[in-house]
Amino acid sequence: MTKLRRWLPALLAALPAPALAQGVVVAPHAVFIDHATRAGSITLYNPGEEPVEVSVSFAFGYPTTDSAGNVSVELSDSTPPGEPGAAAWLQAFPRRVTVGQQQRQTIRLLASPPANLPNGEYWARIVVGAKGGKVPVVGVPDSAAITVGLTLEIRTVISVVYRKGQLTTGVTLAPISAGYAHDSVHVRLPLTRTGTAAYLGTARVSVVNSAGDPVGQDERAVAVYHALNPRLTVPVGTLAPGSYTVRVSVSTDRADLPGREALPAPTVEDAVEIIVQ
Amino acid sequence: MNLKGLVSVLLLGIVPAAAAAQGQSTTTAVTAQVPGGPLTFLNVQDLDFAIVTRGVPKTVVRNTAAAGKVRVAGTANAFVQIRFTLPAQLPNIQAAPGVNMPISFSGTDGGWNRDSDSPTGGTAFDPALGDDGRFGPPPRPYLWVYLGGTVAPSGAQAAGIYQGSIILTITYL
Repeated sequence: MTKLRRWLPALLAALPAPALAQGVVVAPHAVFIDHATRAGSITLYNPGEEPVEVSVSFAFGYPTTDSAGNVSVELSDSTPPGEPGAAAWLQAFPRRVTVGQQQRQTIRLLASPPANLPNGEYWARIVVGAKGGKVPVVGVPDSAAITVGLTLEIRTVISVVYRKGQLTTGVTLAPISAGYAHDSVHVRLPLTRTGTAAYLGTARVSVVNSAGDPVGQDERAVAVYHALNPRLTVPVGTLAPGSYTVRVSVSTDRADLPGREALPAPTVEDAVEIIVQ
Repeated sequence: MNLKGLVSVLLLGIVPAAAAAQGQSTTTAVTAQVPGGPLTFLNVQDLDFAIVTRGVPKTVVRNTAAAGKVRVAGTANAFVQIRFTLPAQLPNIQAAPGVNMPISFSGTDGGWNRDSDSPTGGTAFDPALGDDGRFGPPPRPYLWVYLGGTVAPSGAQAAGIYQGSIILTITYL
Protein backbone atom coordinates (compact mmCIF):
# COMPACT_ATOMS: atom_id res chain seq x y z
CA MET A 1 0.00 0.00 0.00
CA THR A 2 2.87 2.36 0.84
CA LYS A 3 4.36 1.74 -2.56
CA LEU A 4 1.03 2.42 -4.20
CA ARG A 5 0.70 5.73 -2.41
CA ARG A 6 4.14 6.59 -3.69
CA TRP A 7 3.25 5.59 -7.24
CA LEU A 8 -0.05 7.40 -7.39
CA PRO A 9 1.33 10.92 -8.00
CA ALA A 10 3.61 9.61 -10.71
CA LEU A 11 0.72 7.74 -12.28
CA LEU A 12 -1.46 10.83 -12.27
CA ALA A 13 1.35 12.87 -13.76
CA ALA A 14 1.67 10.32 -16.54
CA LEU A 15 -1.92 10.70 -17.67
CA PRO A 16 -2.14 11.59 -21.36
CA ALA A 17 -3.52 14.95 -22.35
CA PRO A 18 -7.07 13.77 -23.13
CA ALA A 19 -7.37 12.44 -19.59
CA LEU A 20 -7.13 15.98 -18.31
CA ALA A 21 -10.48 16.86 -19.86
CA GLN A 22 -13.62 16.93 -17.76
CA GLY A 23 -14.63 13.43 -16.83
CA VAL A 24 -15.43 10.93 -14.16
CA VAL A 25 -14.75 7.29 -13.45
CA VAL A 26 -17.57 5.16 -12.05
CA ALA A 27 -16.74 1.73 -10.67
CA PRO A 28 -17.99 -0.92 -10.70
CA HIS A 29 -20.63 -1.00 -13.46
CA ALA A 30 -22.93 -3.36 -11.54
CA VAL A 31 -23.69 -3.44 -7.82
CA PHE A 32 -24.90 -6.48 -5.90
CA ILE A 33 -26.32 -6.01 -2.41
CA ASP A 34 -27.05 -8.89 -0.09
CA HIS A 35 -29.89 -8.81 2.40
CA ALA A 36 -27.47 -9.70 5.19
CA THR A 37 -25.39 -6.54 4.75
CA ARG A 38 -27.95 -4.27 3.07
CA ALA A 39 -25.14 -2.02 1.90
CA GLY A 40 -22.90 -1.47 -1.06
CA SER A 41 -20.80 1.26 -2.61
CA ILE A 42 -19.56 2.76 -5.81
CA THR A 43 -16.39 4.73 -6.28
CA LEU A 44 -16.03 7.90 -8.29
CA TYR A 45 -12.82 9.43 -9.49
CA ASN A 46 -12.32 12.77 -11.19
CA PRO A 47 -9.21 12.65 -13.37
CA GLY A 48 -9.69 16.19 -14.64
CA GLU A 49 -8.36 19.60 -13.77
CA GLU A 50 -11.75 21.03 -12.81
CA PRO A 51 -14.17 20.00 -10.06
CA VAL A 52 -17.05 17.83 -11.17
CA GLU A 53 -20.52 18.06 -9.66
CA VAL A 54 -21.94 14.59 -9.18
CA SER A 55 -25.50 13.59 -8.35
CA VAL A 56 -26.71 10.09 -7.54
CA SER A 57 -30.30 8.94 -7.90
CA PHE A 58 -32.24 5.72 -8.42
CA ALA A 59 -34.69 4.56 -11.04
CA PHE A 60 -36.28 1.34 -12.21
CA GLY A 61 -35.55 -0.39 -15.48
CA TYR A 62 -34.13 -3.49 -17.10
CA PRO A 63 -33.22 -4.57 -20.64
CA THR A 64 -36.04 -5.37 -23.03
CA THR A 65 -36.16 -5.90 -26.78
CA ASP A 66 -38.33 -4.46 -29.51
CA SER A 67 -39.73 -6.36 -32.46
CA ALA A 68 -36.46 -5.96 -34.36
CA GLY A 69 -34.37 -7.34 -31.52
CA ASN A 70 -32.89 -4.03 -30.41
CA VAL A 71 -32.09 -4.01 -26.70
CA SER A 72 -32.92 -0.97 -24.59
CA VAL A 73 -33.41 0.03 -20.99
CA GLU A 74 -36.26 2.42 -20.34
CA LEU A 75 -36.03 4.07 -16.96
CA SER A 76 -38.96 5.08 -14.80
CA ASP A 77 -39.02 6.98 -11.55
CA SER A 78 -41.46 4.53 -10.01
CA THR A 79 -41.63 0.76 -10.10
CA PRO A 80 -44.44 -0.59 -12.30
CA PRO A 81 -47.00 -2.75 -10.49
CA GLY A 82 -45.92 -6.35 -10.13
CA GLU A 83 -42.24 -5.65 -10.67
CA PRO A 84 -39.66 -6.33 -7.94
CA GLY A 85 -38.31 -2.82 -7.62
CA ALA A 86 -35.76 -1.68 -5.08
CA ALA A 87 -35.39 1.96 -6.06
CA ALA A 88 -37.92 3.17 -3.49
CA TRP A 89 -35.93 1.89 -0.53
CA LEU A 90 -32.37 2.46 -1.67
CA GLN A 91 -30.46 5.51 -0.55
CA ALA A 92 -27.13 6.99 -1.55
CA PHE A 93 -24.80 8.89 0.74
CA PRO A 94 -23.98 11.51 -0.33
CA ARG A 95 -26.54 12.12 -3.07
CA ARG A 96 -24.77 15.23 -4.30
CA VAL A 97 -21.08 15.93 -4.07
CA THR A 98 -18.41 17.92 -5.78
CA VAL A 99 -15.43 15.76 -6.59
CA GLY A 100 -12.31 17.84 -6.74
CA GLN A 101 -9.67 17.55 -9.37
CA GLN A 102 -7.92 14.19 -9.23
CA GLN A 103 -9.92 13.24 -6.18
CA ARG A 104 -12.00 10.18 -5.48
CA GLN A 105 -15.29 9.82 -3.65
CA THR A 106 -17.02 6.77 -2.27
CA ILE A 107 -20.81 6.71 -2.51
CA ARG A 108 -22.38 4.46 0.11
CA LEU A 109 -25.54 2.63 -0.85
CA LEU A 110 -27.87 1.63 1.95
CA ALA A 111 -31.03 -0.44 1.64
CA SER A 112 -34.03 -0.13 3.92
CA PRO A 113 -36.39 -2.78 2.58
CA PRO A 114 -39.81 -3.42 4.08
CA ALA A 115 -39.75 -5.65 7.13
CA ASN A 116 -41.80 -8.35 5.45
CA LEU A 117 -39.82 -8.41 2.21
CA PRO A 118 -40.23 -11.88 0.67
CA ASN A 119 -37.20 -13.81 -0.48
CA GLY A 120 -36.27 -12.85 -3.99
CA GLU A 121 -34.31 -10.50 -6.16
CA TYR A 122 -35.10 -6.79 -6.40
CA TRP A 123 -33.88 -4.46 -9.12
CA ALA A 124 -32.98 -0.83 -9.57
CA ARG A 125 -30.68 1.38 -11.58
CA ILE A 126 -28.25 3.95 -10.24
CA VAL A 127 -28.04 7.14 -12.24
CA VAL A 128 -24.77 8.97 -11.72
CA GLY A 129 -24.83 12.43 -13.25
CA ALA A 130 -21.64 14.43 -13.67
CA LYS A 131 -21.04 17.88 -15.01
CA GLY A 132 -18.27 20.39 -14.83
CA GLY A 133 -18.14 22.67 -11.84
CA LYS A 134 -18.32 25.76 -13.99
CA VAL A 135 -20.22 26.54 -17.15
CA PRO A 136 -17.92 27.11 -20.09
CA VAL A 137 -18.98 29.65 -22.64
CA VAL A 138 -17.66 28.66 -26.00
CA GLY A 139 -17.85 30.55 -29.24
CA VAL A 140 -16.44 33.86 -30.30
CA PRO A 141 -18.71 36.87 -30.06
CA ASP A 142 -19.51 38.67 -33.29
CA SER A 143 -19.61 42.42 -33.49
CA ALA A 144 -22.94 42.46 -31.65
CA ALA A 145 -21.67 40.16 -28.91
CA ILE A 146 -23.75 37.03 -29.34
CA THR A 147 -22.13 34.02 -27.73
CA VAL A 148 -23.35 30.47 -27.39
CA GLY A 149 -22.41 28.09 -24.60
CA LEU A 150 -23.43 24.47 -24.24
CA THR A 151 -22.68 22.38 -21.19
CA LEU A 152 -22.63 18.64 -21.25
CA GLU A 153 -23.87 16.53 -18.39
CA ILE A 154 -22.96 12.88 -18.61
CA ARG A 155 -25.10 10.31 -16.89
CA THR A 156 -23.99 6.79 -16.19
CA VAL A 157 -26.68 4.20 -15.56
CA ILE A 158 -25.61 1.02 -13.84
CA SER A 159 -27.61 -1.82 -12.37
CA VAL A 160 -28.28 -2.63 -8.74
CA VAL A 161 -29.39 -6.08 -7.68
CA TYR A 162 -30.64 -6.72 -4.16
CA ARG A 163 -30.83 -10.37 -3.15
CA LYS A 164 -32.60 -12.02 -0.25
CA GLY A 165 -32.58 -15.74 0.41
CA GLN A 166 -31.50 -18.63 -1.76
CA LEU A 167 -32.12 -17.78 -5.38
CA THR A 168 -31.99 -19.71 -8.60
CA THR A 169 -31.90 -18.73 -12.22
CA GLY A 170 -31.97 -20.30 -15.62
CA VAL A 171 -33.02 -19.60 -19.15
CA THR A 172 -34.86 -21.38 -21.90
CA LEU A 173 -33.98 -20.83 -25.52
CA ALA A 174 -36.77 -21.18 -28.04
CA PRO A 175 -35.74 -22.20 -31.56
CA ILE A 176 -33.42 -19.57 -32.93
CA SER A 177 -33.81 -17.98 -36.36
CA ALA A 178 -31.11 -16.61 -38.61
CA GLY A 179 -30.64 -14.94 -41.95
CA TYR A 180 -27.88 -13.55 -44.13
CA ALA A 181 -27.93 -9.96 -45.36
CA HIS A 182 -25.49 -7.13 -45.87
CA ASP A 183 -22.40 -9.29 -45.32
CA SER A 184 -23.63 -10.34 -41.89
CA VAL A 185 -25.55 -13.18 -40.33
CA HIS A 186 -28.38 -11.93 -38.15
CA VAL A 187 -29.58 -14.22 -35.38
CA ARG A 188 -32.54 -13.92 -33.04
CA LEU A 189 -32.38 -15.53 -29.61
CA PRO A 190 -35.77 -15.90 -27.90
CA LEU A 191 -34.79 -16.21 -24.24
CA THR A 192 -37.11 -16.67 -21.28
CA ARG A 193 -35.86 -16.63 -17.73
CA THR A 194 -36.66 -19.33 -15.23
CA GLY A 195 -36.06 -19.44 -11.48
CA THR A 196 -36.23 -16.56 -9.01
CA ALA A 197 -33.43 -14.26 -10.13
CA ALA A 198 -32.30 -12.48 -13.27
CA TYR A 199 -30.18 -14.48 -15.66
CA LEU A 200 -26.82 -12.85 -16.28
CA GLY A 201 -24.83 -14.56 -18.97
CA THR A 202 -23.12 -14.46 -22.32
CA ALA A 203 -24.56 -15.45 -25.68
CA ARG A 204 -22.09 -16.77 -28.22
CA VAL A 205 -22.80 -17.22 -31.91
CA SER A 206 -20.66 -19.00 -34.44
CA VAL A 207 -21.21 -19.55 -38.14
CA VAL A 208 -19.57 -22.49 -39.91
CA ASN A 209 -19.68 -23.58 -43.52
CA SER A 210 -20.58 -27.04 -44.78
CA ALA A 211 -16.97 -28.16 -44.29
CA GLY A 212 -17.10 -27.16 -40.65
CA ASP A 213 -14.82 -24.18 -41.07
CA PRO A 214 -15.75 -21.10 -39.02
CA VAL A 215 -16.67 -18.05 -41.08
CA GLY A 216 -17.68 -15.75 -38.24
CA GLN A 217 -18.40 -15.50 -34.56
CA ASP A 218 -19.43 -12.99 -31.95
CA GLU A 219 -20.72 -12.75 -28.42
CA ARG A 220 -22.54 -10.34 -26.16
CA ALA A 221 -23.55 -10.15 -22.55
CA VAL A 222 -27.21 -10.82 -21.91
CA ALA A 223 -29.29 -9.94 -18.87
CA VAL A 224 -32.65 -11.69 -18.95
CA TYR A 225 -34.90 -10.24 -16.26
CA HIS A 226 -38.10 -11.73 -17.68
CA ALA A 227 -37.75 -12.34 -21.40
CA LEU A 228 -35.40 -11.09 -24.09
CA ASN A 229 -35.24 -11.70 -27.81
CA PRO A 230 -32.06 -9.94 -28.92
CA ARG A 231 -30.67 -9.80 -32.41
CA LEU A 232 -26.99 -10.59 -32.76
CA THR A 233 -25.17 -9.56 -35.89
CA VAL A 234 -22.13 -11.55 -36.94
CA PRO A 235 -20.02 -9.96 -39.69
CA VAL A 236 -19.05 -12.69 -42.15
CA GLY A 237 -18.26 -10.81 -45.34
CA THR A 238 -19.44 -12.11 -48.69
CA LEU A 239 -20.46 -15.75 -48.36
CA ALA A 240 -20.22 -18.19 -51.21
CA PRO A 241 -23.48 -19.92 -52.09
CA GLY A 242 -24.08 -22.95 -49.94
CA SER A 243 -25.24 -24.20 -46.59
CA TYR A 244 -24.06 -22.74 -43.30
CA THR A 245 -24.78 -23.68 -39.71
CA VAL A 246 -25.42 -21.03 -37.07
CA ARG A 247 -24.72 -22.26 -33.55
CA VAL A 248 -25.77 -20.44 -30.40
CA SER A 249 -24.63 -21.08 -26.85
CA VAL A 250 -25.84 -19.15 -23.81
CA SER A 251 -24.02 -19.63 -20.52
CA THR A 252 -23.62 -17.82 -17.23
CA ASP A 253 -19.95 -16.99 -17.52
CA ARG A 254 -19.47 -13.24 -17.45
CA ALA A 255 -15.93 -11.97 -17.63
CA ASP A 256 -17.03 -8.52 -16.50
CA LEU A 257 -18.69 -9.65 -13.26
CA PRO A 258 -17.31 -11.28 -10.14
CA GLY A 259 -17.76 -15.03 -10.49
CA ARG A 260 -20.11 -15.43 -7.56
CA GLU A 261 -22.50 -12.69 -8.70
CA ALA A 262 -23.71 -14.35 -11.89
CA LEU A 263 -25.80 -17.19 -10.50
CA PRO A 264 -24.99 -20.56 -12.08
CA ALA A 265 -27.34 -22.22 -14.53
CA PRO A 266 -27.08 -24.91 -17.21
CA THR A 267 -25.85 -23.82 -20.62
CA VAL A 268 -28.46 -23.78 -23.36
CA GLU A 269 -27.66 -24.30 -27.02
CA ASP A 270 -29.35 -24.38 -30.39
CA ALA A 271 -28.41 -24.41 -34.05
CA VAL A 272 -30.05 -23.61 -37.34
CA GLU A 273 -29.05 -24.00 -40.95
CA ILE A 274 -29.15 -21.16 -43.44
CA ILE A 275 -28.83 -21.37 -47.20
CA VAL A 276 -26.99 -18.67 -49.11
CA GLN A 277 -28.09 -18.53 -52.74
CA MET B 1 -12.35 0.54 -3.09
CA ASN B 2 -8.87 0.80 -1.64
CA LEU B 3 -5.98 2.67 -3.12
CA LYS B 4 -4.89 -0.39 -5.04
CA GLY B 5 -8.30 -0.52 -6.60
CA LEU B 6 -8.11 3.13 -7.46
CA VAL B 7 -4.83 2.59 -9.21
CA SER B 8 -6.47 -0.23 -11.10
CA VAL B 9 -9.19 2.13 -12.22
CA LEU B 10 -6.62 4.60 -13.37
CA LEU B 11 -4.69 2.02 -15.32
CA LEU B 12 -7.71 0.36 -16.80
CA GLY B 13 -9.85 3.33 -17.63
CA ILE B 14 -7.82 6.47 -17.95
CA VAL B 15 -4.43 5.61 -19.25
CA PRO B 16 -5.09 3.98 -22.58
CA ALA B 17 -1.75 4.75 -24.11
CA ALA B 18 0.15 3.56 -21.10
CA ALA B 19 -1.99 0.48 -20.70
CA ALA B 20 -1.60 -0.41 -24.32
CA ALA B 21 2.10 -0.06 -24.09
CA GLN B 22 2.41 -2.28 -21.07
CA GLY B 23 2.72 -6.03 -21.10
CA GLN B 24 -0.36 -8.15 -21.15
CA SER B 25 0.45 -9.67 -17.79
CA THR B 26 0.41 -6.28 -16.11
CA THR B 27 -2.94 -5.38 -17.62
CA THR B 28 -4.44 -8.66 -16.51
CA ALA B 29 -3.17 -8.19 -13.01
CA VAL B 30 -4.72 -4.77 -12.50
CA THR B 31 -7.96 -5.76 -14.20
CA ALA B 32 -8.51 -8.30 -11.47
CA GLN B 33 -8.52 -5.55 -8.85
CA VAL B 34 -11.82 -4.07 -9.98
CA PRO B 35 -14.46 -6.72 -10.63
CA GLY B 36 -17.09 -5.28 -12.87
CA GLY B 37 -14.74 -2.73 -14.32
CA PRO B 38 -15.12 1.02 -14.33
CA LEU B 39 -16.90 3.28 -16.73
CA THR B 40 -14.84 6.30 -17.64
CA PHE B 41 -16.21 9.41 -19.26
CA LEU B 42 -14.11 12.14 -20.69
CA ASN B 43 -15.77 15.18 -22.17
CA VAL B 44 -13.04 15.74 -24.68
CA GLN B 45 -14.62 18.62 -26.53
CA ASP B 46 -17.68 20.83 -26.20
CA LEU B 47 -19.97 21.51 -29.11
CA ASP B 48 -18.48 24.77 -30.31
CA PHE B 49 -20.43 27.12 -32.57
CA ALA B 50 -17.66 29.72 -32.69
CA ILE B 51 -18.82 32.92 -34.43
CA VAL B 52 -22.59 33.36 -34.48
CA THR B 53 -24.02 36.03 -36.74
CA ARG B 54 -27.54 37.45 -36.65
CA GLY B 55 -29.83 35.93 -39.23
CA VAL B 56 -27.33 33.28 -40.30
CA PRO B 57 -27.90 29.69 -39.16
CA LYS B 58 -24.71 28.04 -38.04
CA THR B 59 -24.21 24.30 -38.35
CA VAL B 60 -21.51 22.24 -36.75
CA VAL B 61 -21.16 18.89 -38.50
CA ARG B 62 -20.47 15.95 -36.23
CA ASN B 63 -17.35 14.85 -38.05
CA THR B 64 -15.61 18.19 -37.73
CA ALA B 65 -13.29 19.55 -35.10
CA ALA B 66 -15.98 21.78 -33.61
CA ALA B 67 -18.35 18.91 -32.85
CA GLY B 68 -18.96 17.74 -29.32
CA LYS B 69 -16.93 14.70 -28.46
CA VAL B 70 -16.98 12.30 -25.51
CA ARG B 71 -14.84 9.28 -24.93
CA VAL B 72 -16.26 6.46 -22.85
CA ALA B 73 -14.13 3.57 -21.65
CA GLY B 74 -15.70 0.37 -20.39
CA THR B 75 -15.74 -3.37 -20.73
CA ALA B 76 -14.32 -4.53 -24.06
CA ASN B 77 -16.98 -5.42 -26.64
CA ALA B 78 -19.84 -4.63 -24.26
CA PHE B 79 -22.96 -2.99 -25.65
CA VAL B 80 -24.31 0.26 -24.24
CA GLN B 81 -27.33 2.41 -24.86
CA ILE B 82 -26.61 5.97 -25.99
CA ARG B 83 -29.25 8.60 -25.32
CA PHE B 84 -29.20 12.38 -25.58
CA THR B 85 -31.49 14.87 -23.89
CA LEU B 86 -31.40 17.89 -26.18
CA PRO B 87 -32.59 21.46 -25.84
CA ALA B 88 -34.76 23.12 -28.48
CA GLN B 89 -34.03 26.64 -27.31
CA LEU B 90 -31.02 28.27 -25.72
CA PRO B 91 -32.04 31.00 -23.26
CA ASN B 92 -30.20 34.29 -23.06
CA ILE B 93 -28.92 34.30 -19.51
CA GLN B 94 -28.34 38.05 -19.60
CA ALA B 95 -31.84 38.99 -20.68
CA ALA B 96 -35.34 38.62 -19.34
CA PRO B 97 -36.84 35.13 -19.55
CA GLY B 98 -38.20 34.32 -22.98
CA VAL B 99 -35.30 35.58 -25.04
CA ASN B 100 -34.09 32.41 -26.73
CA MET B 101 -32.12 31.15 -29.70
CA PRO B 102 -33.36 28.02 -31.48
CA ILE B 103 -31.06 25.03 -31.67
CA SER B 104 -31.80 21.89 -33.65
CA PHE B 105 -30.28 18.51 -34.39
CA SER B 106 -30.64 16.58 -37.61
CA GLY B 107 -31.09 12.83 -38.00
CA THR B 108 -27.36 12.39 -38.58
CA ASP B 109 -25.96 14.82 -36.04
CA GLY B 110 -25.16 12.00 -33.63
CA GLY B 111 -22.38 9.53 -34.20
CA TRP B 112 -20.36 6.88 -32.44
CA ASN B 113 -17.32 4.83 -33.16
CA ARG B 114 -15.62 1.94 -31.45
CA ASP B 115 -12.01 1.75 -30.58
CA SER B 116 -10.62 4.80 -32.33
CA ASP B 117 -11.40 8.50 -32.54
CA SER B 118 -12.61 8.62 -36.12
CA PRO B 119 -15.98 10.31 -36.57
CA THR B 120 -15.94 9.91 -40.35
CA GLY B 121 -15.84 6.13 -39.99
CA GLY B 122 -18.41 5.88 -37.26
CA THR B 123 -22.10 5.13 -37.16
CA ALA B 124 -24.43 8.08 -37.62
CA PHE B 125 -27.66 8.25 -35.67
CA ASP B 126 -30.44 10.61 -34.80
CA PRO B 127 -29.49 12.10 -31.42
CA ALA B 128 -33.15 12.62 -30.62
CA LEU B 129 -33.65 8.85 -30.79
CA GLY B 130 -30.30 7.56 -29.60
CA ASP B 131 -28.60 4.35 -30.60
CA ASP B 132 -26.90 1.28 -29.22
CA GLY B 133 -23.13 1.48 -29.26
CA ARG B 134 -20.37 -0.95 -28.50
CA PHE B 135 -17.02 -0.64 -26.82
CA GLY B 136 -13.99 -1.57 -28.83
CA PRO B 137 -12.11 -4.83 -28.42
CA PRO B 138 -9.03 -5.14 -26.20
CA PRO B 139 -6.75 -3.35 -25.72
CA ARG B 140 -8.84 -0.28 -26.65
CA PRO B 141 -12.28 -0.74 -25.06
CA TYR B 142 -13.45 2.73 -26.06
CA LEU B 143 -16.59 4.25 -27.41
CA TRP B 144 -16.41 7.69 -28.97
CA VAL B 145 -19.64 9.70 -29.16
CA TYR B 146 -20.00 12.76 -31.38
CA LEU B 147 -22.62 15.45 -31.64
CA GLY B 148 -23.23 18.24 -34.12
CA GLY B 149 -26.09 20.70 -34.33
CA THR B 150 -27.45 23.93 -35.74
CA VAL B 151 -28.25 27.24 -34.09
CA ALA B 152 -30.51 29.69 -35.88
CA PRO B 153 -30.15 33.24 -34.60
CA SER B 154 -32.82 35.54 -35.93
CA GLY B 155 -32.09 38.76 -37.74
CA ALA B 156 -33.02 40.62 -34.59
CA GLN B 157 -31.41 38.27 -32.12
CA ALA B 158 -30.67 40.08 -28.88
CA ALA B 159 -27.07 40.35 -27.83
CA GLY B 160 -25.85 38.32 -24.89
CA ILE B 161 -24.83 34.88 -23.78
CA TYR B 162 -27.04 31.97 -24.79
CA GLN B 163 -26.54 28.83 -22.77
CA GLY B 164 -28.07 25.40 -22.66
CA SER B 165 -27.41 21.91 -21.41
CA ILE B 166 -27.09 18.62 -23.21
CA ILE B 167 -27.36 15.37 -21.29
CA LEU B 168 -25.64 12.25 -22.57
CA THR B 169 -26.84 9.09 -20.86
CA ILE B 170 -24.88 5.86 -21.22
CA THR B 171 -26.52 2.66 -19.96
CA TYR B 172 -24.90 -0.73 -19.85
CA LEU B 173 -27.06 -3.26 -21.63
